[in-house]
Amino acid sequence: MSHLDDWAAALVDSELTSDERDGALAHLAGCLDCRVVVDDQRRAKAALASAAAAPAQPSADLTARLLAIPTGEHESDSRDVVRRAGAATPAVRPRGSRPWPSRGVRPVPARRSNLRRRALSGISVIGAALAVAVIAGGEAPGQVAPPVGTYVVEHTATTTRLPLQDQVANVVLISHR
Amino acid sequence: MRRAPLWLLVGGCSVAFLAPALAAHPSGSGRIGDDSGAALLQRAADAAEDLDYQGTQFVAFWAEAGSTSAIVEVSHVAGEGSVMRLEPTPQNPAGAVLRSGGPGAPDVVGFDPAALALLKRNYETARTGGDNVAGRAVDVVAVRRPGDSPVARFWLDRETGLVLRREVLDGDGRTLRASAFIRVTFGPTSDRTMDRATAADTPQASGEPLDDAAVAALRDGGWRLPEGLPSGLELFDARLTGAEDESQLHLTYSDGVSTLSLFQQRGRLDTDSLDGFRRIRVGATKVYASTTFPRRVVWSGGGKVFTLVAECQQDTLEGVIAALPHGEAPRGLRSRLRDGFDRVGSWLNPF
Repeated sequence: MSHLDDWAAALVDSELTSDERDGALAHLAGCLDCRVVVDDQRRAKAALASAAAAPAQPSADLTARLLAIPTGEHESDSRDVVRRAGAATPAVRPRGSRPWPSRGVRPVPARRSNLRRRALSGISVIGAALAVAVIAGGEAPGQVAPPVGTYVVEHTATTTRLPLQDQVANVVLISHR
Repeated sequence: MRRAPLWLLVGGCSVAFLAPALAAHPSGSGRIGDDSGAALLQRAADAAEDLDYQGTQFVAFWAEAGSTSAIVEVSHVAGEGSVMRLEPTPQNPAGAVLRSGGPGAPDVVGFDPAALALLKRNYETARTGGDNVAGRAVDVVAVRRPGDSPVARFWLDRETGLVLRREVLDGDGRTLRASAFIRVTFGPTSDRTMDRATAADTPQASGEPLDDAAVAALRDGGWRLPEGLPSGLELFDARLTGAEDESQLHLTYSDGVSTLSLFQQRGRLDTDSLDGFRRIRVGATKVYASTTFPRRVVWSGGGKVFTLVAECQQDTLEGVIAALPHGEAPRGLRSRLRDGFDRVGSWLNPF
């Protein structure tokens, strides 16, 4: 049996006359080898077209992350600012590094610290109870498995009368869904 | 110079040798910006009702996952309906024989006036020249939005008006679907192998179309039934099947070229049930999509599971997905707290 051979490229590149193209497409229905070749060439052409249309650029996320990386100069500036202001920790520090040492912060007396700890504990308990209530009260809807194959049949049945649909094509769609 | 292989001599039949004399490539001539093709399309709609014809069609679809192709023998008798025999292919080794439903049922290649009106509301339909399909002279009608490249083309038999070929293109001019006669004859058939009595019925849509009152009641009940969707898609069919929590809503949208079905069910998506789908990002949201034709996209939102079955361009599909709910709608905090304390209380109370 003969195959499309280099006619496959001509088909993908729309270089065939109408009758040549229809003969080639009819051949694809019965020839898996040629269909694989045409599909591969079509995908390759689409990929090339996409690459040409959209030159590679870093994503916005990558750009933002790159800009967020502090340089040595910025680090030194930040350290100077912290020293001058007496602040505990600069806003930005390299990932994985230890916090800047605290300066000028007075220690909190032990009794006040215990009260604060108890208050925080109480708030945490109340918060946890509320969270449990909210979660328990959130009624999750039941899980649904959409019958997608059946939906394709329903779709073809309601669109058959549209100008660019036809029953022959839809019968093929259903049989290959 | 390329040598024509055997497939072309057999599959392309004798028409290949007539083509150079008769064919003018559809993209090479014609005037766009008018509706000179509208009358030809109307004639095509009438011809599909009135003619007896038999022939062989190829059908082809393309998608990211690959292509689907098939050869179908077709026999149509005016007033009776059609019989279609799908020849076995590597993708469908069993083949099939199907019949349309008789008088009033869709013709094999026809379309109704309301659908044609929908197309003409949204697109220009201009005759762009002549061509040749299955050895017959045809008029080519291009369908496009004003100022844009064609999104579809029809090849209409010059003698009878019947649609002999049609194709739908994507935004880059690539063919998404195409079907064409590679052999066609007109008049009563003598082929006894296409037995209508033994053929299976073609599938029909479930449920009955909803009237305006039913649509309004469903909207009041929390279902989403937009009259239109982005890119000029209009609602032209709505059906509801099942009852209560098992209800399934099917909305069909089209602009005359693109078609899209939107299915809704109550609940949230069981992602384990999806076979052949992958999670992709569309705009600001994530959905599950297959790369087959037609495109299938599934997600949950606002207590509903949405399934799209779409034959449209990518930007249209993305616009539709963005226009529908995503994620679960938050319930009021007070009601969730009240229900939650009640539920926790019931856990702790042994009585």
